[in-house]
Amino acid sequence: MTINFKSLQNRILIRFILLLMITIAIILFVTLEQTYRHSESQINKQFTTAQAVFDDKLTNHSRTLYRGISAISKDFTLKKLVNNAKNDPRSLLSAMNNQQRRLKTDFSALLSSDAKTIASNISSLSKVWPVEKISQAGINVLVLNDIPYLVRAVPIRLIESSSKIEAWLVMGIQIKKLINDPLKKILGFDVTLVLNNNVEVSTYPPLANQNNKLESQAFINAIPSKDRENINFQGESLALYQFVINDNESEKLTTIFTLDKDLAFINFTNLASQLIIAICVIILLTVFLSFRFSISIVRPLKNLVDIAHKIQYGNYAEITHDARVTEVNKLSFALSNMQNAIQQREKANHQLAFYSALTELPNRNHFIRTMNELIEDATQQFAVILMDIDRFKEINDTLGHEYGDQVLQAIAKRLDENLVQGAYIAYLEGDEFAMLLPCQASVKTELLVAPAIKVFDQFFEINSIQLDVSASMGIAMYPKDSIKADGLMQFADIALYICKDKHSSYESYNEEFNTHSLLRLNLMSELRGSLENGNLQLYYQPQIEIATNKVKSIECLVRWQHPEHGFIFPDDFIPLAEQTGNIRYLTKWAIEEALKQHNKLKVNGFHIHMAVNISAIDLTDSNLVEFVEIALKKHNVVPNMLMLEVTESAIMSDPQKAIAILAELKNMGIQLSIDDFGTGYSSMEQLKRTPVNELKIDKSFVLELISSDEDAIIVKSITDLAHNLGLSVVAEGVENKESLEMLHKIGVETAQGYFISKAIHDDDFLPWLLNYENENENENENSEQTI
Amino acid sequence: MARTFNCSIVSVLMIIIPFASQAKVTNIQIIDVDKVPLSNIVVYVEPETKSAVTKGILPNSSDATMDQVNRQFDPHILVVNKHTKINFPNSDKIKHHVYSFSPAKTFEIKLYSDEQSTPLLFNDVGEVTLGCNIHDWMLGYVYVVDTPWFGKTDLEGNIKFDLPDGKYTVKIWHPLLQGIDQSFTQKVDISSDVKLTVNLKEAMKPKYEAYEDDDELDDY
Repeated sequence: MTINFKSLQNRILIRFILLLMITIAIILFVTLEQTYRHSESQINKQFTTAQAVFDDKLTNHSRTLYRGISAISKDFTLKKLVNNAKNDPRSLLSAMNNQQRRLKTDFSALLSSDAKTIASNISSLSKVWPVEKISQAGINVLVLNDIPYLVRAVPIRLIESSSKIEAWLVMGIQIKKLINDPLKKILGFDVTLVLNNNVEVSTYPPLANQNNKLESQAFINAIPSKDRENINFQGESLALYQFVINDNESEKLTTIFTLDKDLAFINFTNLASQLIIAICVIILLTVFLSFRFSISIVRPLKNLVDIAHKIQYGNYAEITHDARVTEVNKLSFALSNMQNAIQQREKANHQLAFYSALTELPNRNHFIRTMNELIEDATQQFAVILMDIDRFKEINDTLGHEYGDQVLQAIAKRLDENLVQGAYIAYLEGDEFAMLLPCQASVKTELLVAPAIKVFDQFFEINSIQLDVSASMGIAMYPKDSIKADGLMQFADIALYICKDKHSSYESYNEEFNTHSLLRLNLMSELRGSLENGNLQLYYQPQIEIATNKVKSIECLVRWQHPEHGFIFPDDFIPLAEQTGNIRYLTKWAIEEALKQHNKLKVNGFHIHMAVNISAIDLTDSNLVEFVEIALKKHNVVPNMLMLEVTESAIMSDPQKAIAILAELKNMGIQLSIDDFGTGYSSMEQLKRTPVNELKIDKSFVLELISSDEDAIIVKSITDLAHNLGLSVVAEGVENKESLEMLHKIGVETAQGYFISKAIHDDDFLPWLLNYENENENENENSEQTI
Repeated sequence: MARTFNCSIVSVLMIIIPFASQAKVTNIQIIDVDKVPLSNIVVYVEPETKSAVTKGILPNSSDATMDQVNRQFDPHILVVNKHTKINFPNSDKIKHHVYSFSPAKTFEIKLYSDEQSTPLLFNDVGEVTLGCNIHDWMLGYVYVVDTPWFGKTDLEGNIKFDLPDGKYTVKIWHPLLQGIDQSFTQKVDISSDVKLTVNLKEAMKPKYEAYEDDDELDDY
């Protein structure tokens, strides 16, 4: 089992136990230490008391001895014998032996007044007795023939009250006779008497047998130098106390008290074991309590962790609060708040992701999802209706976007309120709405769309303006037309497109629409891809300065070589691109290509203006100016080398914005030209305000220039007008020399047309140009020669 | 020791007063180291020649008495000429057991009372210490001298002798005298009244009772 030390529960537990153990260890140490000291001091007291008792015992013996011999010393018969000692020592000795027996002493001696032996029953005493000392009160020890005696001496005076000492009487008791079991009982210790490193006598059982020399010697060796110490003797622990009872240097008599240490410290041992039991109980109790405590913290935490996991997977649940621990309670409240906040935000996100902020209807994503759900269900047939508000752009342009938005909101509201039961309505984007209507396949289309059409029967009144609004609807049926959501959307879209084309109010999808429409739709989806993979190319048609025959500029024309459908004419895909908005990418691509070509020619020594067509859509793109500026810088082209051609009608669709953008472009130094001039309905006022450099006369006036006087007049008028306005003129559609010459006469500066060249592929243009210049030079030389 | 002894002789102050007479009065005073006169000191004067003694007074000395009164010897010190008989009467109502182990006279009068004991003859010169076997505290001295001129100093420490002209030796004795003083001798030539002052060289021994009876009850 591994313990997780990072777990709160274990950490609390471990700290608790650690703290407890330290506390207990300190208490145990202090208690045992104090107890041990107390025991030690108690035993020491006992030792000193026992020593006092022992001293007293010996003193008493000494006193008894004194009294005995003192009485004897006054015995008249003894005095007589002492007085007659020199003549009759035998009688004296015999009498002394008798007295010794009476007193139960172990030896007796009679000394002269100068302490020399007169008569004695103990041998080897040639020396002078220390009578001064041994006649004193107290414990007097003499070692005679290696045996320690407790001795006393008293003076013998023949006349008792005389100061004259006639002799000394000395008697002694073997000390070892005094060391016995009764003494041991009184003292409470074993007593061992040691004389000069020999055990004299002992009540300590291992030493009691005097024949056991080995034990005695071992004991002698175990005797410490200190008075009081605990020793180990033959596996037994002994409390030992020793003291010297004689101060004779040569014969050291030591008394040793001993006691089994277990007996000496019996209280201490008991206390220790009881304490340890008590401590174990406390530890168990504390561990249990701290475990309970940590659980009370950790369990709610674990619950909260579980809840947090649930929140992670979006399972929201009521959080119960545990008020027992404040911190945990706070945490659970915080978690609860967090959960609520997440729920709210999720709701908001859902709203954003699946609902339109403007109309509060489901958005395209939601629509597709709902449709997919229905398809998955596969039990319900339904119609997909895409609805487009007619002329909504006009509403926006004339009344403003804000107003337009209000219109959309009003339509959304009315649709939502009036649609049949079970209908599902969504707002896709712009002015497009979509509906899902459960229905039978056989239902008539007009019945199906009737409620939706009815919505527009009445005018909308917004900001006090009454507004008639109509809508176009494209319808596709599930599962009849398609069983896929994107198919249904596409077919409904096609139907809508057809509807718009026909200016009808609704159209059901028909398979016949498909081929044409599908091709066009596909083309649109492929256009951007084609821009990137090079299927779209620029072709170049030169424009010459009529006066010099020199190529002054070239018009860049888009050609689409489709890998499947072959060559596609601009007239076919440009309007489509304008409708879908893809024209913007096309224009920008064309400008970049033109600038590249310009630089390519420049390398070859030609400074030729590049004319690129831009559409009405481009003139609503506020991004265009910035793009052109960046592109010029990027390709390092002088602005006036770029000419942008724009049709009259493009300007007319939103003259104000168009003129503003054209003015910005002109300010940058870009050349501007009005394309197809004469086919639109430009007013003179408009023309005057339009910031262009050039008018390009539509080819319809130029093609028949020679044969039609009217055309000639028109061209002449336009040219004059242009010149009067300070504009130069270009004529396109020049197909013969006569026309060119006529234009020259009229004063047109620049000509373009098959007579000069058709539009030339990029690869072929430079060779063509070189060749043209070459020929032109030769011609000039020739004409010069002619002149 | 010998030197000290000589010194002591020098220290004796002797005033000889010339006086033409047959018997001259000799006054001897004993004073201790503190110049205090000492009483009860045995003083005796020995003639240089025995003839002087025979010529002297009281050749037959009478008996002496050492009584026992209130469990004490009375007198404490008895000085006698040798060949004197001494009576040991018992004036107490209890019995006594008088004895002596002294070489000058060893004797023992066992348990007697009242009755007149046989006088004992003291023929040897010297100190005889008397004790009583049943009363340890009883102590008495008989000092036997070989001269008719002896006595004990009075309360003023004085003693007077009427001595015929001649040469004499003055000696002193007391059981508590230190050895140096005990062996004091002074030769004097008597031709007139003499006044002799003996200064003790050392303090006397303390009375034995002072260190007697050290029964060890003071331990308790």
